[in-house]
Amino acid sequence: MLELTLVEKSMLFARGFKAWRRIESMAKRLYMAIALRVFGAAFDAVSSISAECERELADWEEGRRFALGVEPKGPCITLEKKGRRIRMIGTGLKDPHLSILFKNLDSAVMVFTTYMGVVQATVENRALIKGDNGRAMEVIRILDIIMIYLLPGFILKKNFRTVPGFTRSQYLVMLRIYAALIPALVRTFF
Amino acid sequence: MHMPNYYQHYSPGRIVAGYGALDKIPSIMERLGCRTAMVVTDKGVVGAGLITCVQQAFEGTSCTIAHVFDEAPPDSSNIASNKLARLFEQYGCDLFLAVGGGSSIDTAKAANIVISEKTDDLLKIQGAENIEADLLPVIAVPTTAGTGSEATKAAVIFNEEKKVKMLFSADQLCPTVAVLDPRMTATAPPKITAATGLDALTHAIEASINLQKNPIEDAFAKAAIELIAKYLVRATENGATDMEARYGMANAALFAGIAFSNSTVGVVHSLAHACGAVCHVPHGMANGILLPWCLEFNLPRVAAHIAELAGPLGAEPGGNDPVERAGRTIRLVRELGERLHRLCGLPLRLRDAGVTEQNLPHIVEVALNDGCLIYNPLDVTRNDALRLLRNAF
Repeated sequence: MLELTLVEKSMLFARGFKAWRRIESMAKRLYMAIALRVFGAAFDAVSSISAECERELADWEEGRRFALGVEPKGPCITLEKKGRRIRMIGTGLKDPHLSILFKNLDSAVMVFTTYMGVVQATVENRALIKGDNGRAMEVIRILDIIMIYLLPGFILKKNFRTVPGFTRSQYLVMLRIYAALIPALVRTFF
Repeated sequence: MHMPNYYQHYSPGRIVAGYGALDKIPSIMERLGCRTAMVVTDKGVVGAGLITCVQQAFEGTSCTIAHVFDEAPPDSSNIASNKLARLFEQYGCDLFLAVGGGSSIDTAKAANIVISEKTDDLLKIQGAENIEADLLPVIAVPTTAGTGSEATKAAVIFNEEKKVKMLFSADQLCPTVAVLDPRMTATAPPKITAATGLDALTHAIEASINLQKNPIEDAFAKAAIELIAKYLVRATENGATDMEARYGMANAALFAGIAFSNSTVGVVHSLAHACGAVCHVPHGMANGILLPWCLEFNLPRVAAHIAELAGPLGAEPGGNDPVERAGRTIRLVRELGERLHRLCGLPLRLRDAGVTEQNLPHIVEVALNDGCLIYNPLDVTRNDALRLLRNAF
């Protein structure tokens, strides 16, 4: 149950060295900064194409903002509902109505490397929600939709309580989302 | 025994329980370094003469009750909390003494946040773990055996201007002391006793099967379930004449409160909160109606956990098949509901509790935004929620 893998044992050994800890922390910070921007782009791509996302966004007021990131003072992005899609409006906290912040880099990396699902991270008290709980649920549902479209089935099976079956038309939507992700990534990074 | 890879437990409150436990309040206050209490309650509790019992406990002691605030609304609100906070400072109080059901205790918790965080805009700090200040001491004296608010680290406050329910969750919100005196719950009418008892049962059962289940909460939850199985029908039937049953139920609600404060709750509560918000169905009543249906829904994922509850509910030992044993648990929950229905007319169907079929889609939408869903063993889609409501309708 609590047996460590070889990788975890090696990491524990390496963490005994101060220099390694510094390198590890910088690497995680960099990884999270990139991963959050990729997710920012994914929000844009999926929300512009997926019918499930469109349904979720129907009740969102224009200009609603939320942030995803890492406490304390870790990487963070703010996203906003603009028209029928969600756009990343920049890094850092930009006056969001709601923020979902992981308590530390380790927790965030676990979720953004798909080692752990969002639900399990919440169950293990790894995230802080500032703002309305109902709005947080709305964001988490959209995050789920994004993951369902972007991640392979074996990861979904590991991280989701119930994995929804895909119809043929949803596979087509998935292809369109991957195609839309490229310009969204370009917009996000440049 | 289920042992998760990770869990947390926090329950720092002192528990003072027994017939006459109220009399200990002044000495507890002295030990806390407090002298002047603000009693937080509602008009129903005052009308039932329960505050007189509290006042009598202060006679001849160095501690005093500065003011009795009897304006706690049925749904704790920001307006009531802000008013209470102003009065608390005006009267120079140093402790909240909440006497009542969940709303009185939550009103005291919210006023405590207002004072300690020096804000009158609770919206800014709603959410989980957003309270940074140390809060003032709160002594909670429940007058219903159900909400468990005397032992929980959460408060739900209705924002009257924005018409939204705000959830606060932080370790500091756990009351400093919970005082269980069976005299305080003895006057509750049968239907309230039954509904609040089913609320406590739902807390205990959901805490034992959901994703934050852990061995400590299991122990509290199973003890609560055993007490409820033994005493709920008696407390409903015998009223004020059966103090043993009242005392058993007060303990059950507290144990269940500790369990769900740490393990949280699941789909039953999400749907019950929504039934309350849309159709004003009393919370315990909605929980009692929905519980067996939601257990059936979760059964494919957590049959073994549900099966473990058959014993505490009074089933004979035996039967190795977890699905069969889980079915027994669900039957026992149904039978308990039916007995209470026969005793006091507690509804068994949502349609008898004020819900119409046209309300169901709206209830679904509200339920899907309830944070409790995260902790349910199975994902709950719109269709699942609607099916559950139709089953219980």
